[in-house]
Order: sequence, then C-alpha cells, then structure tokens
Amino acid sequence: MYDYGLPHNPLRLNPTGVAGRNPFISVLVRIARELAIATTWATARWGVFLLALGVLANQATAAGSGDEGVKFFESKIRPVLVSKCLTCHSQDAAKAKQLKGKLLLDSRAGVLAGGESGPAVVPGQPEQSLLIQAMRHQSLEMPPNERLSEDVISNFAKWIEMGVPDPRDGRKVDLRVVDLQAGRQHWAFLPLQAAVLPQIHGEEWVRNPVDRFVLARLQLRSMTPAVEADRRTLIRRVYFDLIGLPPSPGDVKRFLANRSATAYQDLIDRLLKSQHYGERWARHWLDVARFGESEGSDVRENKLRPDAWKYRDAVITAFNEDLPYNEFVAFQVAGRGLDANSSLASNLARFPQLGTTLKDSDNPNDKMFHRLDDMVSTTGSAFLGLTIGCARCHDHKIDPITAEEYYRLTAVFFNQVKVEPRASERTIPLEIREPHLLAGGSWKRPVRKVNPGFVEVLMRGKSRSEDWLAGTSDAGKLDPRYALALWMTDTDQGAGQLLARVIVNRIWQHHFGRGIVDTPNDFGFLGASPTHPQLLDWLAGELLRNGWRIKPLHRLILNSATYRQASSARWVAVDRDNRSIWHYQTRRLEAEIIRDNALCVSGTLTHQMHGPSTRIGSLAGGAAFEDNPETWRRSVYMMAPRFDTHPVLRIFDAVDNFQSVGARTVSTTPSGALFMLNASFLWRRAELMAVRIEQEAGKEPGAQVKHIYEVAFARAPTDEEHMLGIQFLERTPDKDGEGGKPALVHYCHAIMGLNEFIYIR
Amino acid sequence: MLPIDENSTWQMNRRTCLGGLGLGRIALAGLLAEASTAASPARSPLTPKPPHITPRAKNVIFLFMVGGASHLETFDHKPLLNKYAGRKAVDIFSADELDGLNPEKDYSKSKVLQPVFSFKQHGQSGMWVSEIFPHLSEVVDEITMINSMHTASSIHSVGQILMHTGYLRPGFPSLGAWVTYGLGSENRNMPGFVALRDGISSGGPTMYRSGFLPGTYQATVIDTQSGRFQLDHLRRPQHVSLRQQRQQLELMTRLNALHREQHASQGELNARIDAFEKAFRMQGVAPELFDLNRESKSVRKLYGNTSFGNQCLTARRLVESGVRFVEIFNGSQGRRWDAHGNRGGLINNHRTNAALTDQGIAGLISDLKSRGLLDETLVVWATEFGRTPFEEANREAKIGRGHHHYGFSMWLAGGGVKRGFTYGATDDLGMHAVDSPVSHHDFHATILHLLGLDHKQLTYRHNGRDFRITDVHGSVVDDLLV
Repeated sequence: MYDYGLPHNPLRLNPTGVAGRNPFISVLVRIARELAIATTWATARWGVFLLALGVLANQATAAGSGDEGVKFFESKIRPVLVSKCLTCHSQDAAKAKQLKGKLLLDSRAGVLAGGESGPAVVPGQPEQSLLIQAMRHQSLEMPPNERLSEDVISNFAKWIEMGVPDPRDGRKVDLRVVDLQAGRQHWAFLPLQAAVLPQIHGEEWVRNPVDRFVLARLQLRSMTPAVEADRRTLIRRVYFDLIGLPPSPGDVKRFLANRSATAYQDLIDRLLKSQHYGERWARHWLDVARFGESEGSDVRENKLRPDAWKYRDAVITAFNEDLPYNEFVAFQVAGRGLDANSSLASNLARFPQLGTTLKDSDNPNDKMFHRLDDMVSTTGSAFLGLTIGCARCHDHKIDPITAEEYYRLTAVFFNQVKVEPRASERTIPLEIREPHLLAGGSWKRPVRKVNPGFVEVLMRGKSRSEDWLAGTSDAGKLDPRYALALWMTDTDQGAGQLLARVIVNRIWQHHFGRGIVDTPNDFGFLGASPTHPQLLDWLAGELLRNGWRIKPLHRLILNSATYRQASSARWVAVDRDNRSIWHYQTRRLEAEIIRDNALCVSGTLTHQMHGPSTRIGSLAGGAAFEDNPETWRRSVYMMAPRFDTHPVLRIFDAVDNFQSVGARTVSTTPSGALFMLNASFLWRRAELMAVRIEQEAGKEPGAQVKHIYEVAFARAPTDEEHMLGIQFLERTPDKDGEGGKPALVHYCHAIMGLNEFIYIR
Repeated sequence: MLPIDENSTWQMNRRTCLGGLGLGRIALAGLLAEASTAASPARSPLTPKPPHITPRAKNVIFLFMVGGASHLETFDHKPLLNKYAGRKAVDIFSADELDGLNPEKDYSKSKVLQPVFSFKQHGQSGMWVSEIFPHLSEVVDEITMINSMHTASSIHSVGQILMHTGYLRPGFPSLGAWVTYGLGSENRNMPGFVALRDGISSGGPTMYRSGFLPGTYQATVIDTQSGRFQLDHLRRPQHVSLRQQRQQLELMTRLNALHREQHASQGELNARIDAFEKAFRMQGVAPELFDLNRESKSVRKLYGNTSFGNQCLTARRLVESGVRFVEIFNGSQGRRWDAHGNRGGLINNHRTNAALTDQGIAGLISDLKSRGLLDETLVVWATEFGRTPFEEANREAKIGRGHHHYGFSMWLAGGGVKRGFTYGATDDLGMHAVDSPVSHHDFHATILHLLGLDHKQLTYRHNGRDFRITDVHGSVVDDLLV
C-alpha cells in the first residue's frame, strides 16, 4: 500500500536540484568508495546483496571477499610491499621526489591504476598482471637487483587471483566480475516456460487458464477464491479499469437488462473500442516513460517543451489502435517500426528526448552525460525492467550488466544528444565527442572508445552486439537505434521474452493494483520474485501468440473468474496483501481518475480529445491555475511540466515526471481531507452535480438520493443510506450563512468525499 | 505513556476549537470518537505511545539550512587555515581525499582559503562563534555544539536525504515521520509532524515524507514562500457554515463506516476516516495557531519580525500546542546556503543568510527558555554538509568553497543536552572530523534517544525486513546528554 515503487533504478536520485553534479554518479562512487563507514545503501541491501551473490554462484567464491582476503593481505602481502616496494612506490616517495615509474603501491587504487607501464595488476588474472611479470623478471625486473622467492611471488599471484583485497584505503574490495552464465539463470532472463497448465482440484470456478494458475496457488495454501462480484460492482470496476470513467445510470441499466450469456464479454469489447480506453491506458505508460512537458533542470529554469504533447497523443492513439507492443517499442527507441510503419512513428520517436536536462549554465559535459543516462536508464526500466543505470560507474553490483554495456548503450543514443558548450560566461569545451567507456562514471576519465552495443545476458545465438548491428545485407551496419529495437523485441535471440514479461506484468498490475512481480521496473536480482511465475510466462506467451497485441490480453484477464471476484475479508489474516489473489482488493483510483470522475458525475467533463495540453499555472511564478470550463478536460490532457503538478492531481499522488515510475504511492493525509472538505474545485462540482441530479431526478429527495447513488456508485442505496440521505436533505437548512448553497449541493459534495467515490472494489 | 497534563495548552486549544462549534458539538465529537475507535480497534495511529526509555525531550524543532553551511565560517574556529592559506590543496591533501569530495570537481588548482569571518569566544562556556551570528552568540550557553559531524555524501540531494532519512536514496521515512510513528502526537487537532517549507529543495519531498511508514506520519507541509503560511484548503468556503460542514461530516462518517463494514481488510479506508476527522479539527485550530498577531509585540520583536523569525515563532506555537515535530527548511529555493564563488560568493552568501536567521534562532531559544519549554523541546540546527577548507577549482570572480562532508558543525539545544558544551573536533585545517566523530546515524540515534526512543527498537517491517532510521549503524552520543 505504501510501496513507493522505488526498485526501478534504486540508486537514481532526483537529478533536478543537483545543478551540474550528477547525484547518480556520486552516489555510486560513494558506494564504491566509502565502505570504510559502511555506507547505508550497501548495508541496507546487504542481506539481499549476499543472497544475490549466493545466487550468482561462483562470484562470491573468491576468498578475498571478506575478512579472509584482508587477513591474507595483512599477513602475506603488506610486509613485502613495505619492505620491498614502498621506498620507491608510495606517496612518501613522491613527497621525497623518489617516486619511480609513477607507480604507487601504497593504496589499492594505486595498485589498480598502475604507473607508466600500465596497471600493475589485472584483478583475478595473475598471469596478465604486470606486477607478477616484473617480480618474475619477465618484463621489468622488480625489485631491482633482487629476485623474490617463488613463495612470495605465488602469494602475490594468489592475492591477485583473490581480487586484490586491500584494506588500506578503507575501500571495500569489489571482486565481482559479471558472470553471464550465472546471470542467465535468473528467472527473468530465462526463456519463457512452456505453458503447462497447473493441476487443480475441481473445475467449477475456472473460466479460463488464468484461473488455473491462480487457483493452484490458492489451493496450495488452502485458501479459496471469493465469490463473483455482483454485476453492478463489475460494471463500475471494468469502466474505471478500462476507460477511467464511471458508467452512466443508463449504461448500468442496459447491462443489467442484458441477460445474454456474453453480456459481460460484450461490455469489455465495447469498452476496449472506446476512445477513452487509450486516454486511460496511455496515462499508465506516461508514468513509465517519465513523460514531462518541461526541461526540469531547475524550478526556476524550467523551459516548457511546446511539442511534447504530441508524444502523449501518439501513445493514446497507439493504445486505441492496439498497435502491437513490439512495434510500439520500436517506434520509441528507433523512430521506425519493425514491419509496420505508422504516422505515429515520428511522435513516438520523441521517447528518448522526454527526460530532464541539466541547467544551461552547467558544464556541457555533465549535461550530455545526464541526458545519455536518462535515455539509457529509462530505456532499461521502462521496457526491460532493468536497472541498467546502475552500471554507469562500475559493473552493476547485482545484475549481470557491465559498465561497458552501459556505455555501449549510451553510444546507441549518442547522436540524440546535442549539447551547446556553454557554461557560465566561460566556454567549457565538450570533452567527449565520441562514445567512450568512462571510469567511475566521470567524463574526466575516458577509458576507451566504445561502439554501440546491448546487454549480453539477454542474447542467445546472436551472442555479440556486433551480430545485432551487422545487418543482413551489403548495406552495411544498421542504425544502432534500429538494431537496439531489433534486439529488444527479438523473442528468439534477443531480449524479447523479457520485454513481454515486463509489459504483461504492467497490464496485470493495473487490473489488480499489484503486479505478479511487485517491482514493475525491476526484474533484476533485487526486484521481487513473481508470485505466479508460470502465469506470468503463460501471459507473456499469450501476448506473443496474439502478435504482441495488448487488447486480447485485457480480454483474457478481465474475463477470468480471478478478476471477477468480489472483495472479501475471508483470508485477511493469512494474506493481507492479497498476494494469492483470493479476492478483488479494494484500491484507490489514481489522481487523474479521481478528478475525471468528479468532472464526469457533475456532468461537466469535456470530451475534447488530443491536442496541446491545458496550462496548469506555475509554481515559479507566472499565471496561476484557473479552474474554468476550458480546463474541464480529462486529466491526461493537463500539462505535466516538472516541478509543477496540477493542484488537484498533486493531492492524490500524481507522478512528478522526473524518472520512470512503475507503481505509484497512495498516501492518505489531512491535506487530502482538507481538499475534500474545502476545495473550490469540489464545491463547484457539487453545485453542477446538484443541477444535473435535479434535472434528471426531479425535486423529490427520495428520488434524488437514489439517482445520486446510481450516478456516483452505479448502485442503489441501501435502506439505511437512503434514509440518511433523505434526512440530510430535509434537515440541512437551505440557506445557512452567506451565499449558502441548497442542501442538495451539500449532499453531492459529501458523496464525492466518500471512500466509495475514490475506491473501486 | 507520556503524561498529558490536563491543563496543558493543547487542551485549551481543543476547547477553543470545539467551543466555536455551538450546538451539537458533543454529538459530533462523540461520533468522530466513535468512528475513530471503530476504525482502529486499538487506537488511532497518532495516539501518544509510550517511549522505550525515559524521555528527556517531548518535541523537536528542526532547523535545516539548505545548501551546506560552512563550518569554517560559523562555528569551527580554525586559525591555522590563515597560515596555510594560498597553498595548493593537492599539496596538502591526498588525491583520494579530494576525489571523494565531489567526483565531478577538479581541485587541482584549488588553494587553501582562510576563514573569511572573525571568530570570538562567547558566554560562560567560551564557545567559538563567528561574527555573523551576533544574536546566537548571546545564547551559546544553552547550546551543545558538535564540531565533528560527518556524513557520506557531498551531493546536495543525497546529503539532504541522508540527514533526514539516514539513507542515500529517496523513499525512506524522514526523522520527523519516525518520531511521530514512535511517539504519536499529543494534539489530536493537528498533524504530529509539520514542515514549514520556503520552496522545493533538491532533496525533495523525501525529507518530510513517511516513506514506507503509513502516510499518517508524513509532514503536513506549510508553504511559507509568500511570507504568509499557506496550508492549502484550510479555510472553509464562505458559503459553508460550520454547522453545515459538521452535518456533512457526520453524514460522511456514517456512510464511510457502512462502506467499511464491507471492506474490513482495508486499513487505508480507516486512515482516510481519521484524516477527515483531523482535517475538520485542524480548520478550527490551525488558523489560530498560525496567527502571530496573538503574540505580544515584545515577543514578535524578540524573533526579529523576519520571515524566518516568524517561522521560528510559529514552530514554538506548534510545539506548545502539542505538535511533535516541526521542521523549518531555510533557503530551499536555490539552496541558499550553497556558498560557491559563482553564487554570490562565500562572504556575501553567509553574511546574508546568517543575518536572515540569526535573530530568529536566538529568539526561539530565549523564548522557549523563558516559557520553561526549552527543557522539553529539542532545537536542532542542521545542514547537509560543511564546506571545503580550500577554494573551488575554477575560481570565479568571488571566493567560494566547495561541498564537504568529512567534517562539519551542527548543534543541539534544550531537550536534555548539555549547555554551553562543545563536542568533537575536526583536524587543524577543518578537513576531517578526527576527535569524537559523529555520523548522521549517531546524530539520529541521539535525537531519538533524547525523545525516549531506542533507535534499534524503532523499526518498521517493509518488504520482509525490519527497517530503522539508522539501518545497522549509529550509537547514541552519551557525552552530549545532561
């Protein structure tokens, strides 16, 4: 409930206030460096970290990982260094102007960095290490005039093999070498499991294969599913789920009157054809795509992007047209389709550019790598559920992703970033003009040029990035962005199966409030494990069998008995979070839908689709937000600049658009309640709703109450509710206080403040 | 359980609030109480809870200087810097040390910079304070100065988040949320945690949010940018009488209770019912609490009548009414204490910022003391990090210092800490906290301890693990305690 949806890029921080110093780099550098005081992140994650290492089999086998390595260093290595090496290779030597070969052996950093002849050691590879060669007098001869004993040399070899454990600079020894073989065994990177429908006891409840997977888990835990929800509950649920708007009393009446066996199925089909479907589901994607309509560099320097709304419109259309998801992905990363072409291409192609920038006054090098990081990280989170961004400063600590792969991905987007070298009044040159692997994430430390490339753990057969970039004809190399799209969507040899898992999980999440994988943006080792792994794979398989179309997936899920369950309290004690899906868990509507709902029941929602966003005022000065009829459009059309959030939407946890968000938070605060009590927005809605009710139901309180319940909750009031309503309408004085409103207005206002108004069940 | 004094101010405020309701107030109070009981069989999440150990303080006023106040220009007197001034930083400090400060900064041309303000010893204690805090200098004998703070980051956003949550990345509960979670609140009419914010700083909302703790514990944010204290939607619309609102709320409470009966598994439905109750009460109490005209002229003068002074005065009024934790963010907009050369320069920056806050802080301490509230209120002056002993790399037109988290100064006053006491020290150049270093974890553990909470016991289960603000670190700095 209070899950802040953090696991995507767990280390990324809001870049906006950092003005030129990228927090991401720094955090990672800090983590890598400062384990002397055992930084919090590492230890917060320590249990999981060790677990992950355990999973990664041979990665933790090196003896140097802990005290043992340090002990070895202290007993076997340090004494030799002190007596034989440091006279010429230390800071002290440097101060005494005695330093030789610019090599420092008095810190691990020095050992690794090496001197004039290159790095002194290659961790894990003694034979490749200059230090050993020099000790054996194979290349250099060290120490000069003395040959160390084989024992000593073999100790050094062992030390290098252990990964060069060295406590001297207080840094944690990071031994991990990304292990592809072990990485491939992670559930998310394995091929989709063939669909074997689970065995269950009794078939009565099952409506489609989804239910078999769910029931199997329930039965394993000796739980039972809830009864089917009544039709009124169901119609309200699917309306909000698919189009984000409430059913009108007429819709409900027709649905109840339709006794056909396919009435519910037909309802779903009808809603999937509604244009509002795209408006509803695009919003989910916009969270993931960190869609924002300003540069977001600084609260005061937050230039609007006047054309950004075209991306939002293209996403709406893509959902409405049921553009196959693989094409949807290709349009966004490559700007072109795989097989199809579409007028949406040019606008979906804005995806890489949707992120934040640093300030104009910042160092252009910082600016460029900030943009690249945003592109690579968001691409990883949004499409593949991978925290690729964590590999910016070093190989990924947990997942099998190398820093090299990260920088090869930046190479894919390199032509997307155009930074004007301008900082303060001085011109700072752009240092890196071609894609490079950077040490520690710093453009000041370019290591070598890199070519575009992807993540190898997600390659089979075509196991090198070059294979993907080569293309098939004589035409030469492919455009790297197109090659990226090919790799990401290829289900045989590329990342396509993960791509399918990730999107299927998102769809499920928005139908049930929680994904099969609870961390929708992180399918890596630190992410949650799927509650129903076979179901996830089966659904992913269904997506592929349906040619990557999303709508059949909605049908499948919504027609299941699992989805049709009522809310219940039966197994709360056993499974409060409903991980086994033993009922339909009541959940709050998103900010946009709460606002849309209020506009809709008051009969004031303008169904003006598409087009430029409606301005919402500005925090940093400028025009205040005006709540006039021109703004009464669906919330997906409200402008989404960074820093500023629509005054109604921000009450209910709308996203801030800085980074990809896979799962929103739900907070319940007095501020939210004050909004419900006093905000002019809601009072205005109440007045207009009262007008509507009187028009449709007349002046008789009993009829009014009934109609209000139909409009707001798609159901009739209970006797008690009916009675309370009539009492309220009859007793509340019509004019109490200056400019008082009729009782009906107060009643409508109260109705919109109820839990039932903003929760679906 | 903390004793609640029947005569305490919050009771009076509550009376004042309910007194305005006229007829039927008992009915509503009863109904709301009933709803609240039904909502959570045990008690409301904010019901005062028993501390783990004997508390020395009840409330906290946390003053946070956004941007990184220089220890070398405020409280850490380093005369030796004058001697080393002009020497190259790289000749004195190792590459590691410099590198660790801020990976994107190049310090190869930086030179050691002498303190730009003069220092004097003050009070009976002889505490060193720089010339820019003349008012604070007069109350140093109430203060425990920590000159050996250190944290894990010299990035603004990360440092701010660390200092508030103990963790490096956003999403964890802030100190104020932990405290409110641990102790509840003594004012049923107000939130337990209030943040007065003068803008949006780089650390973002994490600094006052509740992370994975229930939303009840997050701060209610008051925007102070306009000079007025704005809490959105606090005022009942003109066309709604109190009576009407009460009737509406009665109806909602009833209907929500009926709805909840069908959804027993949903804790957040209860939370929302609680929130309405609180919101209703807040409307009555808050405007009065924020109305500084109720203070005498002499008191207002004591606080300096500045925007920050008014925030301090408001903070006192809030804790006096039973709000558990009040945080004042100073300089959120544009990280105002961030004294780089290209941001107005160190001299101008710190002189201005000190002038804007000095009298408010000193006024707060004196006022709390004269009211006998200083013993039970812990005042904290904090910042995300200090500043480098040397000038910046690319020297701008004006002198500036970089970000520095190896050693810097913060202070505590009242609430069970020693008076006129200076603790810990950095080395002679103000680089590293060398004598009795205090990490942000130690700092958090100590504040919780003063409030009667054991940082190791104050945990919350999330994602299968018991989290605490100090993670697996932190020890109480006993030497600071009375």
